Amino acid sequence: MKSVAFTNFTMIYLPVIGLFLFLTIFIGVCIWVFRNNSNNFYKEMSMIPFRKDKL
Amino acid sequence: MNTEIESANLIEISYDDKVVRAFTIATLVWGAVAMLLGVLIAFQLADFGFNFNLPWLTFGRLRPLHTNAAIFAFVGNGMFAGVYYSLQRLLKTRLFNDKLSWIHFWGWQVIIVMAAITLPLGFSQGKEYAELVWPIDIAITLIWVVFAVNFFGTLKIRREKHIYVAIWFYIATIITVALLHIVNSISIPVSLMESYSFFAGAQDALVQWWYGHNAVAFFLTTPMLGIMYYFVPKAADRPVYSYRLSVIHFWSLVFIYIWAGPHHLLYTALPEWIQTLGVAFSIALWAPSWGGMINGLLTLRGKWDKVRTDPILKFLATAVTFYGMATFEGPLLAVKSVNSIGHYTDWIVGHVHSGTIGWNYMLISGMLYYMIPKLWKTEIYSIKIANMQFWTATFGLLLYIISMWVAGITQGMMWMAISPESGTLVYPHFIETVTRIIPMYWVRAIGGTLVFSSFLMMIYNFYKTITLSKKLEDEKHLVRNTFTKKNIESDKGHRKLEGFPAIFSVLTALAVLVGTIIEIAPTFLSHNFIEKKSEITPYTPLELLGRDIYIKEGCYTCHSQMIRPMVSEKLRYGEPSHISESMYDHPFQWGSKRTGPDLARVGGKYPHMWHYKHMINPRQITPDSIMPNYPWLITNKLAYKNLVKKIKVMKALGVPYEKEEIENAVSLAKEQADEISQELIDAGVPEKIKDKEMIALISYLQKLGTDLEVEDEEEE
Repeated sequence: MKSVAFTNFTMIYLPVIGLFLFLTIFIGVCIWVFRNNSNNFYKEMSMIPFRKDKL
Repeated sequence: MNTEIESANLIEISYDDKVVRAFTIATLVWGAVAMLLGVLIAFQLADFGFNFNLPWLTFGRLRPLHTNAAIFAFVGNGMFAGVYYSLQRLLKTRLFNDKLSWIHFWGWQVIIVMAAITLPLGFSQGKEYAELVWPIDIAITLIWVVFAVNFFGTLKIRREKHIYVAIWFYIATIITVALLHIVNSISIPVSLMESYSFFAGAQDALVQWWYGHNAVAFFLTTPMLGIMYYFVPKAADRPVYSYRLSVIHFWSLVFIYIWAGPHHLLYTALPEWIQTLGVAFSIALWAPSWGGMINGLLTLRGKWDKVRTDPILKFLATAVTFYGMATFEGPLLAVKSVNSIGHYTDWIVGHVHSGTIGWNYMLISGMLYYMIPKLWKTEIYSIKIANMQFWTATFGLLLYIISMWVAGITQGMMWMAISPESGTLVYPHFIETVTRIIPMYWVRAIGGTLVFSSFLMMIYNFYKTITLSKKLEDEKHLVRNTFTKKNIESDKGHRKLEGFPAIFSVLTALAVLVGTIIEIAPTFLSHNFIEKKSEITPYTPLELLGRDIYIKEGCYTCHSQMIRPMVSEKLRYGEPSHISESMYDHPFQWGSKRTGPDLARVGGKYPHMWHYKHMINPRQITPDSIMPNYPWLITNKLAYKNLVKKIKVMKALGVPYEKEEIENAVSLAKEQADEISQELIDAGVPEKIKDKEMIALISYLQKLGTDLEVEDEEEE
């Protein structure tokens, strides 16, 4: 049964599109976060929970 | 009341901690209830006597209550407490609307109480973690919308320009849970407490496990990760190890998690490519999950000496470690060869608990130990009790997980064992594989009792902590407003995106939808590529009533209806299940656990009297059986009241009932009931059995798998 379903399944491009989209997003995010001169920005971001608000 | 301090763009505000305190107490109350239920059903599995012959205390009805209570009541309230506490502090603003916060709180508690009443009474939709009846489903949707409005409203009035990564995880949670809940709950009501799932068979299975898997992902994981990214740095008093890694962690996780649902359906009648897709993305999940775990643990670098003494860090570090363990084990179980042994066994139960106890319970405990002294402006009553709680919970959890590994692998191997000489099953009687693991069920029950006791210790510790608290007043905070139009305009790319929660949320939704569409869309077009079997017939009116009783009693919590295409399964149960055999099943009943044997081909295997005796007292048939007694099936009258409506709804859902069948549904059902009961009466059963639930249930069980057998005989 499964082999019949698999043989007749004509939408195999769907997983390929998914894989392509995921890889694009993954590589894109990696490139973005490791951009030059972003060190200070991310340091600043990681300090948000520590910003003193009580004076 | 806010007072602008003009000179330095400073504003005086107070946070809404009252509602956070309310959610905190609800977490403790419902956590104890969920764990007590867990302990009770663990003992029921070790000894059937703990079912007490009472319908509302039977395993099949309490197991759904335990899972729903643990996920939505315990973790749900803990999540809301953590989200509301951290959200206000990260955004430097009070929650959007106090009234909405309280509607959210009380609405959620009412839903939990309704679940606690309806599930033991047997009102169930028969889909795991989504058993609640349709009116409660609507209530959940409404309260979730209230939560979302309050959450996004708070984002809109924030005074912090950037949205910290923890909040991204909260956004993903709100959007995805809404999507999962609404799609999976689509059903057509028959009455106030009954409805039939819009989806059927393989479609329903895919939608259900897309939901079930992602309930774990987006209810038990992503909000907890957000909580981890806030509370671990705060408790360790140092920033997250790598903010960059957290960005990659977020996008990879929300994109990949949604794809992995089909790993719950390996070796089923689902098309192979969907299963393979599920496996591939489950394995890919290792990367972001471990990236997140490493990020959490490395945040504690240089603070490990404090982990030894500080209960907050102890709980948090253990939680993150168990997150790593559970997310290692999950993809491992999704590998097909491992899955062939582990699926349907207690290994899965152990895996689930290493997540819910190891990750959720530990993280929530660490979070509460951090928050409660601050919320009630006091000190923890006893560090000693906190440490005692930690070690009791850890030891109990290890007993739980190890016993379930042993039980699961032992039983899985016994099911598969085939004698090389004779080519027959080494353990042909299912019960042999059950009695072998009963000692492990006792160990699990003891482990669970220890975890429950540890939770009671925490409740006592917090009760004493709170009583030490003095009069609570709203604390004033002076905050600087950095969220101005000018600030946002100067940003570019992802940084700018982070300033626009609406666009950010849409992109998150897209990331989740890609996996959803690719995974689920083809099943809606399944008629194009799935071979149909014309021999499959709809249930007769009486069988349909019997099926409703099967769902009501939660039979699916212990019995599967899906024979996998494996030699051992064919020898034990018969021909592997065909995808079209469940095409009229609204909802599908493939199951996910075999505490008892598979029932996909039980129809016609035994006489009616066998089922009658087995249901009243299973030990009359199988002396060592651990199945509860169902004596009320011979006293409860069969409800024909909504039968015609039920069949009409089924017809509306595409089940091919003839007009005559609908019109004469009650008389047809009574006719079939007479035939079955006559056979029983001839064998000595009292005549009053005719109109009892037992007859309908027998008719349903006798139908299972028989359509395909007819075809096999014809082929021969």
